[in-house]
Amino acid sequence: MEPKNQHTQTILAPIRKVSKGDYLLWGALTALLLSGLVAWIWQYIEGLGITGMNRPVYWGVYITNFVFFIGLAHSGTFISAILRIAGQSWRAPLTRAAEAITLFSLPFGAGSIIIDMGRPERLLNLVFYGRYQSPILWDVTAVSLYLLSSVVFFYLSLLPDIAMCRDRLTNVPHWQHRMYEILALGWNHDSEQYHRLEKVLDGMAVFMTMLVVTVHTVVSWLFGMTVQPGWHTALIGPFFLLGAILSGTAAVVIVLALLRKAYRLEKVLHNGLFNSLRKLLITFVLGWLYMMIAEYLTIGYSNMTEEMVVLTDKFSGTYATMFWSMTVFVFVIPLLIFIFKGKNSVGWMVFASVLINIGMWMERYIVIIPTEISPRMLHVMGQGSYLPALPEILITIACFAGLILLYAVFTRFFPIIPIWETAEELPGHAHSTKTSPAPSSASSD
Amino acid sequence: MDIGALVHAFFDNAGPGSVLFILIVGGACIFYYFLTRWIVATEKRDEPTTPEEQPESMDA
Repeated sequence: MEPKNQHTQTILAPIRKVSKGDYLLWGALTALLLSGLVAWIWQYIEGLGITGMNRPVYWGVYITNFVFFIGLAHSGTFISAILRIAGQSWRAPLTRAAEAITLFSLPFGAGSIIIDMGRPERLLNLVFYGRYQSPILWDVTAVSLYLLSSVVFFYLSLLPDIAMCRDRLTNVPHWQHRMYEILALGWNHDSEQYHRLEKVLDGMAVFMTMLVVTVHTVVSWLFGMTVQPGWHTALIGPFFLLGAILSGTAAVVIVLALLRKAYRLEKVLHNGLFNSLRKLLITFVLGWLYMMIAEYLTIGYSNMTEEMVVLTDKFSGTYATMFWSMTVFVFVIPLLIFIFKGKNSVGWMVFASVLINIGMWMERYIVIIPTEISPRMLHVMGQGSYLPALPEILITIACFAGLILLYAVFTRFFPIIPIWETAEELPGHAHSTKTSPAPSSASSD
Repeated sequence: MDIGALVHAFFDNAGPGSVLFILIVGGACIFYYFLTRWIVATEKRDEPTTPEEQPESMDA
């Protein structure tokens, strides 16, 4: 017996037909993705010399993208795992949309590291000669395990819905139906299967929460374990982690609003969900503001020479415009919107979330570049300079296009709202405790 | 046995680190495979047994 969900037809509606608009969008995104691939091949042939990177700026936009995409990837795990453990049942309709961000941004995050390597085949050296002294190996281990666990977590929670697609979508192309048959792994909506699935997802939620903390802390240690000014601080782990959760949660708001509009899911993705996310975002913005003040005040008060070169560069030097723009984008405007406008307006919430993500990308950039330009020992010489070159810009655009492409294609073949997790009744359960139905004001903006 | 020397050797030599990486990721792959099998492996009580009872979707 299938789970009973009054919104099943609404949720499955986007899967029934791929429109011309979809093909156009996919085509445009594929073209951008291919332009990035061409740029990467060009870079591979010519070497990293064609990028803006130079001595001593060895990390540029690629590592900025790496940190940013890994940060985005924390959205899904946060919504699905941490809120699951906290017993927040309102999160159920959002889980898959958020987990999909995790799944599709992680490859571009991890891939950015490979792109940053002039000789990507040398990645194998990690396997043959890796030593645990190196934070790179900690990072590869943590990110690989996170990617694998995210795929499994995502797939397991998708299983009952794939089976539902298999059983209900009778007029889709044969290959698509065959795909559902294979991916459903013979799921037959047995109550015992649901019991086991829930038990495993509960257990995995705890593990995924630990992984989230580990992964972004380890990412931050790539910086923190060096003795470079601006990076060598014990605060860098929680600083990166909270920033990641902030940008990830803001990304969930953007994606949900787009899905709601494009697929007419107002009854399922009601305003109450955005309001709950708004409260979370206020908490994260304030938490991150606290971290920033703690960090910069400690550095500024110590007045250490190397640290001050980098700090001054951010506050009033070359990167001041970017730094203060970031402050306005991440803190000032979003906080004002969340407090005064966001409560009943999805549009304002999306605007604030887009600003947060632009600001967070800029923040990643100014964490990396000013330190690279003025590293310890070389700060007096002040030789460093960096501006992204064409291949870096093309590859960055391609990464974002690839993320959107994967997401757009996925939503046309699989239900983006979990049907079984939002069901009123599951097989073997008298009444599901999963989630509450949409309030009567659901469809109003 | 000098545990300290062993730990030191683990961190200082090329190789053991990657073995641990492979063990962690490979072990997780195996664990998740059996976990997935355990979840889906139940008696298929609801499955139709005769050709007439096949769901409509199977013809698609």
